[in-house]
Amino acid sequence: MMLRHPLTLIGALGAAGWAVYALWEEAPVLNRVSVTLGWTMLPLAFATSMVAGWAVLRAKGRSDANPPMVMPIGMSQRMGGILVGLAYPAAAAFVVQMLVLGWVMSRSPVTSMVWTEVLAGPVYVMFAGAVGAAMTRWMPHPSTPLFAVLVLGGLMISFPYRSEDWGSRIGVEWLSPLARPQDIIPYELAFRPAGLHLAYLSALTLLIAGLAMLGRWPVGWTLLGVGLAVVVTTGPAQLGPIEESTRTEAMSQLVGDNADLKCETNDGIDFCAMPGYEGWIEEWATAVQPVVSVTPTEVREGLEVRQYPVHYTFLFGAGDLGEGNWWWVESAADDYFAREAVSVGSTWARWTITDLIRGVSLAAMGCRQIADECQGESQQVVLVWLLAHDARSAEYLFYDGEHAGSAYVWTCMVTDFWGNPDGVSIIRDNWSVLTDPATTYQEAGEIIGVAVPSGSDETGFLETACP
Amino acid sequence: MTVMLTDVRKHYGSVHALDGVGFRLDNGITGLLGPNGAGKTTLLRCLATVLAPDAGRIDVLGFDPDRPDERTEIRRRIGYLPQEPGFYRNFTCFDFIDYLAILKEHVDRVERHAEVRRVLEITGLSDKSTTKIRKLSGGMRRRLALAQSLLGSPGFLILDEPTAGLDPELRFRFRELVTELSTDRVVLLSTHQTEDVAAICDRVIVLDGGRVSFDGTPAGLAQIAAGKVWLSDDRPASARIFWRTTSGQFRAVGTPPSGAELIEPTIEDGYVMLVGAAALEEDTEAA
Repeated sequence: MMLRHPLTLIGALGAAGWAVYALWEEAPVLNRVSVTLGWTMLPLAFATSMVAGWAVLRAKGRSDANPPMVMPIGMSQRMGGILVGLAYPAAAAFVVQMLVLGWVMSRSPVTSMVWTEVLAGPVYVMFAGAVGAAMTRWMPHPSTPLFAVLVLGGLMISFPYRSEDWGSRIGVEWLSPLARPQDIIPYELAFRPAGLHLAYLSALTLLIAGLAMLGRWPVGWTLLGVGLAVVVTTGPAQLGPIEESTRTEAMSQLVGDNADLKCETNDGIDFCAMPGYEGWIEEWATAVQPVVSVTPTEVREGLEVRQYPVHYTFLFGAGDLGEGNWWWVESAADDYFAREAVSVGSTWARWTITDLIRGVSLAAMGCRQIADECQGESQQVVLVWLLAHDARSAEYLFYDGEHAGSAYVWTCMVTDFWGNPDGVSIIRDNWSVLTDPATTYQEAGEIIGVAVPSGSDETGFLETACP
Repeated sequence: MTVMLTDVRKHYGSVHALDGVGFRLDNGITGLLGPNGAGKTTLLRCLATVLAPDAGRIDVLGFDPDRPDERTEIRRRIGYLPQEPGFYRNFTCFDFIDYLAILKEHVDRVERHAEVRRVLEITGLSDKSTTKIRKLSGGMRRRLALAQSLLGSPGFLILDEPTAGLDPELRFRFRELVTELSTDRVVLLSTHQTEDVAAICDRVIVLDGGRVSFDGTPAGLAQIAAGKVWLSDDRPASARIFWRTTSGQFRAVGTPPSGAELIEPTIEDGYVMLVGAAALEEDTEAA
């Protein structure tokens, strides 16, 4: 009955849709995917809560003269049946998770699954169903199942979204039935007590099931007692702070001289990935290959692309972060500046892979990724020409054919130069001059054989199509 | 198969819904008549194990409903059609009966579905099995309620107003059905339809004020009004109740005037005399 209810189907579709949406853009990191797969089962859980509540209303009957009241299978057995029946939507949640995971596995995932995070989804579905059943048993009213969903939502909201100190678990969010994903903390450093939390959530489910069965039925008291004992044990155990030494040790495996990185050389560039992320090296090499292949061999020799447990945009702002909370960013930034490596984040997506391509292009020109050093006129032309070899970057650079200010000049020059069949050899042969910060548009134009366009709005506000 | 009640009492506050009711039911159809508030539904609920009496003893098919394990045995063996069964409006007819069949321990899916189809067939709802209950007419819902009471061929069938809302054809089909069923089981039929009682009941019990005021055959009930039903051309002054017939004459029940044109009484006449007499006695006592 639970599975056949239209709301359960809608909830399952909602869960699947949400999971796919949440994982759509990012290249999949399985330990993050695990958390997402658990969290996105919320729609199915809410649906199950309502369906379970309605099932209890139905089992109780609307009056003492209802046919169900004179059936040999009594209310306690019916309630037990409803609670056991919650296994079906929980199984449906697991099936949804596995279908989404099947899709994820076809997209070059890295790291490994955290099954305790995944299983929190189906267990939460059972928990929500038990809450709906228990509340409706003690408050038998048609609106109670909806109220149960509001209570579940309230539980989520009432616990803090994040603790104050992201590096040490001092917040109470882990007392929430389903712990929220952490958006910014790299999962290698998140120290999520997923196993303990799964035990806690399972015990909470037993406890609520016990409340639903409470009364003259001994099984209710047993469930309540066992659930309560495990909840009070595992609840506080999740909240213990992380030792500073633990965090430092974990960080040292990801950044610094002793980092346990896996490196491979491709087209003369060293690609170094964090443990578990080795599968992405080929992805990165493939992504930068169109740009790297048109640079002179000697300028890309020795370049290093290094993965950091944080997105490069956080490295940019590391100096302004102050002390304390963002310790992992500061640590990663220190390492980055010490090495001057091209950074790639612990996660990336369609739009962030272009950051890597830009970083490699700048590095090949002798500039640093985050310092915007290649501001020379000719340098800008070369940079745009390099980026134009990557379809994603080109789509952004030339998206509407109209530009203003200096962008008008370099995009028009590159557009004009793009059709030259000897373009690659011209750039390679004149690389040192063209990437010199002192070389002007006029000089670059003479070398590559295109005219410097005029007529652009100097203020940079009026967009103009190339002549 | 027998059902026994001995001095059964049930009160709600100061109201004695059942005040020392006792009788024995054997195989066959017993009609239960009585005015509103006579205690019929309370009695049926006690027999259906929904309510526990305050005093007295009930024995249903050899089991004592006071004992939990025996109460379950009774529930396995009875079929109960309540006066106002709660329907799950979004269920289809099949799903509704199937759900109740599950609650009646029909575990085997294939056998259960066959049983569901059987009771739907009996009640003429086979073509409505996939129709949602909210789309059924009042009469169809009554048939659906009857269908669930027939699940598992119960040994004791408790029917509270089963023909209310049924059209004449279905009432006849119902009579035929219940008559067939009654050959090897106990059927207790509570109704206001005296025609149904006259047509199919071997025995009739009249409950009034929580007490059994009559227990006998339908003919015996009719005989209570023997010599007290007459036809009159004028409005009868001494009648307890009267109405104009299609011939233009008045049919009167009560104390006939001398020389009145007496006619054969019906069960309805006997019922009116019985219940009306009790009411008059109560008025006299009060005065």
